[in-house]
Amino acid sequence: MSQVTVRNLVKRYGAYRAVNNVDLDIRKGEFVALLGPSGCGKTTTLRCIAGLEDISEGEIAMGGRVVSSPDFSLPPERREIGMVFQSYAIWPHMSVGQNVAFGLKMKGEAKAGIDAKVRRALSLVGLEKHMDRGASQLSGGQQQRVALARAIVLEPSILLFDEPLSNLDAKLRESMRMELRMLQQRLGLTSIYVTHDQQEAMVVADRIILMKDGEIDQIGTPRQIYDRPSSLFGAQFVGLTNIFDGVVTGNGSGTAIRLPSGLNLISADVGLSAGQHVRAVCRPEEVIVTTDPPDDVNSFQATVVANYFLGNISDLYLKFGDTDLRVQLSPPRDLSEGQEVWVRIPPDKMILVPH
Amino acid sequence: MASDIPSASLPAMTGHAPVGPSLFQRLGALWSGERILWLLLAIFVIAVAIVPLVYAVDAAFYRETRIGLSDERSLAAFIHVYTSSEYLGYLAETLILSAVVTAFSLVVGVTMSILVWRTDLPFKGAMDLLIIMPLFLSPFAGLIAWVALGSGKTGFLNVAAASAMRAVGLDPVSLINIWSYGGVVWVMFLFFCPFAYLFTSGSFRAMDSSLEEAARITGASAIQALLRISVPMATPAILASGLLIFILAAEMYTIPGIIGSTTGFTTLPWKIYQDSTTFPVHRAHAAAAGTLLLWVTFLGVWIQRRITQRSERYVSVTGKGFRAKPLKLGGWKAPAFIAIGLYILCADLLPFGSLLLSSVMRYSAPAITWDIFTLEHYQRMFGQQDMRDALWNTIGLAIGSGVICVLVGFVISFMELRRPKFSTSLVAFLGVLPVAVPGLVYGIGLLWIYLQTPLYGSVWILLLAYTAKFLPYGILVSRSSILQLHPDLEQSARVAGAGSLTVLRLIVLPLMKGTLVAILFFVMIQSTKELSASILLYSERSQVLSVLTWHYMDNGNYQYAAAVGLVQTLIMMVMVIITRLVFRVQLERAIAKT
Repeated sequence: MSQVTVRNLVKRYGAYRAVNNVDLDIRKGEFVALLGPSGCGKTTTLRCIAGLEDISEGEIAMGGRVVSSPDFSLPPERREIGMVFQSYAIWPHMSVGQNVAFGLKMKGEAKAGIDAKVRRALSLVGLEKHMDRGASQLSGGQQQRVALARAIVLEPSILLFDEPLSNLDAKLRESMRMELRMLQQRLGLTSIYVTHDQQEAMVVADRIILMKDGEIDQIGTPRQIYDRPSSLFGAQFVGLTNIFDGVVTGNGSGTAIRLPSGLNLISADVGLSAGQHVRAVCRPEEVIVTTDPPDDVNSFQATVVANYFLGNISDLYLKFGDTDLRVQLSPPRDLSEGQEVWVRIPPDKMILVPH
Repeated sequence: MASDIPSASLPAMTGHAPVGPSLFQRLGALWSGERILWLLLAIFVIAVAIVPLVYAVDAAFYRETRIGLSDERSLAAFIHVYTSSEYLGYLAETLILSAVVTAFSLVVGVTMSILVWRTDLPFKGAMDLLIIMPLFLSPFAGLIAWVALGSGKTGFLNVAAASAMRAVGLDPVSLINIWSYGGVVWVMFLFFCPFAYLFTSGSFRAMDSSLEEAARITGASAIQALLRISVPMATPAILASGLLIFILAAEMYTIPGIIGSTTGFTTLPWKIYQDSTTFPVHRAHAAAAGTLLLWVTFLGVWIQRRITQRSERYVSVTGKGFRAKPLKLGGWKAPAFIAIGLYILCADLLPFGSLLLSSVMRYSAPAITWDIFTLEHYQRMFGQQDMRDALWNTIGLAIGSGVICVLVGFVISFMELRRPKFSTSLVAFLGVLPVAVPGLVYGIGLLWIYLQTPLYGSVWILLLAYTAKFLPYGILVSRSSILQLHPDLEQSARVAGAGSLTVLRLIVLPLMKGTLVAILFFVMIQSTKELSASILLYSERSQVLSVLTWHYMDNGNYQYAAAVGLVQTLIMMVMVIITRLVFRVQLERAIAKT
């Protein structure tokens, strides 16, 4: 049975629908990331689950109990959740230990038990030596860890993260997201994680819920989201992508399309009818570039406009007819500006999404 | 809309349907402690701040009798006040006086602000404190002091000047005369000038220096950069403080009244005071004239708020970045230092010394000799029951109104900002409204409501008046402080298992301690010196120090007035010292946030 169930969630601010008909099922022990650009409703969804916002329509249930409905909202303090805030929200008038102990005191636990639990939580995040420090003397990364310890010390049934790493510098962010993932795995915590950073979502999450304009665009594993975007938005938001307009000209085991330039290409996708307008999407690293003509479908000639050497890859800007094509080659290759090359897009790497 | 979502990605619901909340849980969610508390406060605000205002306006629409109002409705007083040249003339006098006082205060206050915060003048900290000091003293006590200093023949300054003139062989003439229009402007200027200083010092102190530096690089001199960049950027603060001073000056009747009644000019608030206290009373006229004054104060406050809000949209005062390099005064250092020194002398040192001196003199005398000194005023004063009552009433009322304004103001602001709804915003708006209502008008309203009840003539009616008048400070200052608290701090405590009231107690209140202390003591000081509403509402059973000074002054008993004024001043100074030394809170920084 699902740990968290969200049914037809709508959150309105006046006439504006910040969250529109969101449905979610999150299994016990699962790590789910809500991913999307700012204003897509991901944080609002999380705050509704936390009970920090009342909901306008729909229902949220946890462990089989309704916690939010339009006329009822179980207060956040009774939901048995942990939450890590974007600002960390470390209480500046308390020490590290007091911050972590706060929730246990609220539960009315005995002093000795509190002490042991606080120590254990702080050692999980590597801060056991900082217990008596004033919270305001900590660095950003340390505050982040205190916030995490404060959330997990309560052994919550669900852990919520609201862009927890966005205020850290790039290096720290990278190491913290791996730590977070390992800690979650070790404790088996059901987690919901809000982020606008696709790489972060891919590292931490079992499943990504891609959101746009208050609605869910796609749900899937990181691999599914990247390899099989179900919409143009998904293809553009996650990773780099090439997009061509086209019209379906025929179908069978695959689909044939014609670009405005007259070029015919084939995709392995099926289920589209002739005459339909589509967009063909392919990732820059899936394009194959050769100097000799390859003897295969989806091959055509293109001119090198620019070639940037980025260390691990060549970032190649090509043009065929009026159409631009971005290619990333690994390992990097020396191709000079103005050079004519042959390009091939494997049919199974060309995804068709509705126009 | 839901059809866009691919249904394959949603596993079908397994197991049983979720269990709904119980009736008990539903009731619990509806009646949180927070909501009940807010409801009580809403009732309190309406009763304390709004009802007296309604009554004060309502009183304008009755037929007058010689001792009060009849039950009969009438527009006579209202029409007379709004159309007669008599009352409109009083209004004009008021506006002119306020404009003159505002102009002087702005010029001197802004100049001092620039000198202290943007130049290399020494002793900034001490000067800052001494320039602001008059804010924490009673303007009326200042008047008592300046009467002793500047009365025609007996004023200390005139006496000193006369003996100096005699020494160099000149015919002695009176140097200054406080019993004049100029005298009124002078005393009001001394006590309102700190507002101009305080409200602009923030902009000059924290202005982003890169703006001036950019002007310097494009070829402006240091002075040009200051005058062309920094001063114009402080314009919103200058205008806002100017309006504040204008309103305070327009509603003040004590200083223009005491002096004006002997020198032949009458301002509108003084006329309101006379209409409501001098037999035969003209209560409807007083109330109608009160509404005339209300237009002025409401308009002023409205414009001031607009300016402040607009300027906040273009904040350059970030507090970040580098402080601007102080301007080198060079040869102007000494004159600038002396100019500020003169202000401090006239606003702090002379009045205090003068109160002290006149309170130990037997009578006002042109020549000061040793046998004129006596402590009998103090002995008799503390021997008198009414004086002792007044002292305890003053202290009790200060504490009472301070505590109420802190608690109520905090909760109202908190609910407004953290639970933004029409209802919470409305209560906050109503609570702030009295900032634009002269104390005199509150006095009229409260008098009119409670005339027939046992509350009339008790200290409780004064407590109501003080609470209504100073609640806006409680709301506005807490608001600016809550705005600086990230809501996550509270929400994370909720998630950690604390109820809404526990969050207030363990998270919000400790973080706001300094602000709350500032509000408490600021309101206590304001209550200690409150005079305009107190005069209308006091009785033999509810004397306070400020009313005593008024009566002694009115009867020409200047030595007593000075002694009581000094006691009152000392009480306020002790409060300032406690906040600074014990709580390490600077009151003026909190007030500047309103």
